[in-house]
Amino acid sequence: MTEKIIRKEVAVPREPKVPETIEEFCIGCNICVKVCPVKDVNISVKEPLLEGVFSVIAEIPLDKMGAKVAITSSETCTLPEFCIKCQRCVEECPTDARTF
Amino acid sequence: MSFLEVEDLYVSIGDKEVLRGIDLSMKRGEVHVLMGPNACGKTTLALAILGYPAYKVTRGAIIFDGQNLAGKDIPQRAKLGIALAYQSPPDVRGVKLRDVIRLIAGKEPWNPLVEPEEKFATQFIERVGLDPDFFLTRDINLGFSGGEKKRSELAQVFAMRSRLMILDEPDSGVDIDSIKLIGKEISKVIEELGNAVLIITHHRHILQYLKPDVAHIMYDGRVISSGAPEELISKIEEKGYDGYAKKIL
Amino acid sequence: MSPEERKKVLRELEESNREYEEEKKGFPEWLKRERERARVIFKEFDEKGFPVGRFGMDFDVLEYRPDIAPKHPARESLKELDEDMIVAAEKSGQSIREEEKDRTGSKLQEDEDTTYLGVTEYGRSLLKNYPEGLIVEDIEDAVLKYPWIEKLWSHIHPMNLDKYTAFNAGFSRGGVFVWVKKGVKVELPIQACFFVETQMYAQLPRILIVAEPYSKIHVISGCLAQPACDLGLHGCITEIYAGEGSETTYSMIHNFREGFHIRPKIGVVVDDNATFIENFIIIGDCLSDQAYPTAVLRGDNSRAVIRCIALGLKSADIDIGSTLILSGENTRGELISRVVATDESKIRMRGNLKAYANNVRGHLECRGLLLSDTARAWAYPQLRSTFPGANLTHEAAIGKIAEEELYYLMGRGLTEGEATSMIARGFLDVETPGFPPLLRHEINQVIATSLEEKVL
Repeated sequence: MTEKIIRKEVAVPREPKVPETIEEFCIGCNICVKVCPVKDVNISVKEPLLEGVFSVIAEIPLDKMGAKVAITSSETCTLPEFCIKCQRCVEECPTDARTF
Repeated sequence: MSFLEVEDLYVSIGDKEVLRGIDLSMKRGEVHVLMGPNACGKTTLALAILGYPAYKVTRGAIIFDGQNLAGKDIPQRAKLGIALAYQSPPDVRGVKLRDVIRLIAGKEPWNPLVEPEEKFATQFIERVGLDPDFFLTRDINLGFSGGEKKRSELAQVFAMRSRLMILDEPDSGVDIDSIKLIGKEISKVIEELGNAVLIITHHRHILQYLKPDVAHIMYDGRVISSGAPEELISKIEEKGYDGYAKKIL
Repeated sequence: MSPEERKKVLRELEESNREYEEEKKGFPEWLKRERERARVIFKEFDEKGFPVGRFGMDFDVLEYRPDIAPKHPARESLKELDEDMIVAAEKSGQSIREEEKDRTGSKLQEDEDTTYLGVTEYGRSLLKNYPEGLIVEDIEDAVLKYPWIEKLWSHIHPMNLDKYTAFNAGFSRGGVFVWVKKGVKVELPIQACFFVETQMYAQLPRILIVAEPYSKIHVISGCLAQPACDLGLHGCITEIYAGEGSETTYSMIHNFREGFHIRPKIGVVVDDNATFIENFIIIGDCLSDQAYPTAVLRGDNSRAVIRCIALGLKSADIDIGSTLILSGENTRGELISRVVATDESKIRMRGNLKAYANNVRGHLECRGLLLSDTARAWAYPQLRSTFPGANLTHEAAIGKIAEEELYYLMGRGLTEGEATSMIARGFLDVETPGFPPLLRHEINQVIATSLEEKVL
């Protein structure tokens, strides 16, 4: 997170590029989605992890029966042509998953 | 035989002399009233009897039940049998009223794992007209109204079952019905324990429930007059403290 | 240590690690790869001379070896432990003597071996109602059974967070995996005891808790050192996934000896409508203890409360705090630190609230009580928000017990010591909304006992 002592040498390109997400580091916090000034450039999709692995369904609200444990997410930057390259998502990402 | 004897007591706070030769004598089982204008030293006297270190006795002595209190610290005096219901008690965060009452009686703080329902402190809290469900779990005095603080003080003093109860303005900020409740509870305790009570107050109202034996008027660090309560209080009501003091001195 | 000695130690560690991975445990390929990567990172950090962590006392990690513990035999029951260990464990929130009363199940790890794993009567009846509804295993068995753990491994905190994290990720041994299935509410806590019994040992377990949607779980981790063992390193990497609508509580109690360095790394991800409560309690001695749990409230309407309660004893160097990332809509978080420092201890309290949405609320409180002239405390509360609708507040206070309050209690007959004790106990008692009162009481007892014995 931002407590990292290694500053990843983010080579900031001379010409601002559209950032990408390194899926491995993404924890699905949605910060990149929240700080993006352009609506819907970044969206977050949670990838369900544990499908049908459980044999018990105890007290769960009826409409939530389909809920699954989710990890990561982020098919971010689905609309790169609208990205204004402000780099806010790169700055704010807590795990340095957003990068160029 | 004198139970509480204050002999020619001089008390200073820092460099300032606040009590200048107080003489006061109480017998076991008596109820004394202490009156006087604000800042004349009433609370100072109460805290000096309790043994607060900042209140230095520069002359004179306080003898309680035959023992000179000099050199005895606050808990020692409390254990000897002196309890004070404060005029303005401090907030003590994190310490529950319920646990102080229990500790006074030598019990462990309440453990819901052992005692599902707390009964001991509840009785004292109910007695002073406070709602146990609310007050049992509160930190002492934190967020209490003025009247609630006074009642909480009394609950603790009652739990101490002390032979000398000093009540510093238990009736200020308290409504008339509550004064009746408090007055009656105090008189019940006196009946039950036969203890001596020194009550500091500005108003005569609570006294109708207590049958005081002696009244003392304090002025500017001294007791200027002691005598029959009804008479003295009437004179004060007539002339005011300043007027009365001018006449006496 | 000279560079040659360091190289030698690293070679030995690689060799013993290889043995451990392949012969003893048979780790899957992905795990071996991850550990390899972590070791590469560690070596790089070590060569460059980086400090062990960004916060906390720096020390030489290589002085502590994760491969020197003897094998500990399995135990039939927790009561087989030595009397003094049982006493110490019970003072650290572990319930042993009365048939693990008020617990669902227990796992005991001595150095690197899981020597006991069992369920109580309550646990058995829970499992009867919900077969496989709760899974508690040694994590190194779990990685073989559940390949999907790969996706959750070292995911919240990256391996290169600091030198210590890389060390643990590269050489970890043992740990616990707790998996509660959808809708299963485990009312009584699971206790995971970690005992260090070998001198100069580095105990590096990993803890993974997966709470599926609408489940409820409480894991109490008691971390202790055996009385004869006075130097060592204990640290774990804990990752918690609190699924939608779940209620997860994680309590960690540290009760070590004066020569121990303790470095837990805790990361939590909280989904929609879920609640996460953490109690991080230091009641024993240490040389240094540094922890900075991070919780990411990415789910909408999620809640988290992280409380750090610490006693600073002797010359302990404690650096604790937590970070909350409030990125879900309508999330609420509270970070509360209460510390009592005595002797020559020093305590740093940190807190960091980061808001990324307009209707979030965060509160941070750091309070320190200094009971001796040589104790020291610092508070570093931090707030960060770029969303005007986010409401972040903080309170920090360090001081001593007010004389006025002491005299007041003394006037009721308490000695100065008793009054100090009462006020200090009350100071460390934190009201946490939603925290079961009986459990709060149990934890308060744990804290009060240590306070009485060690501070007052």
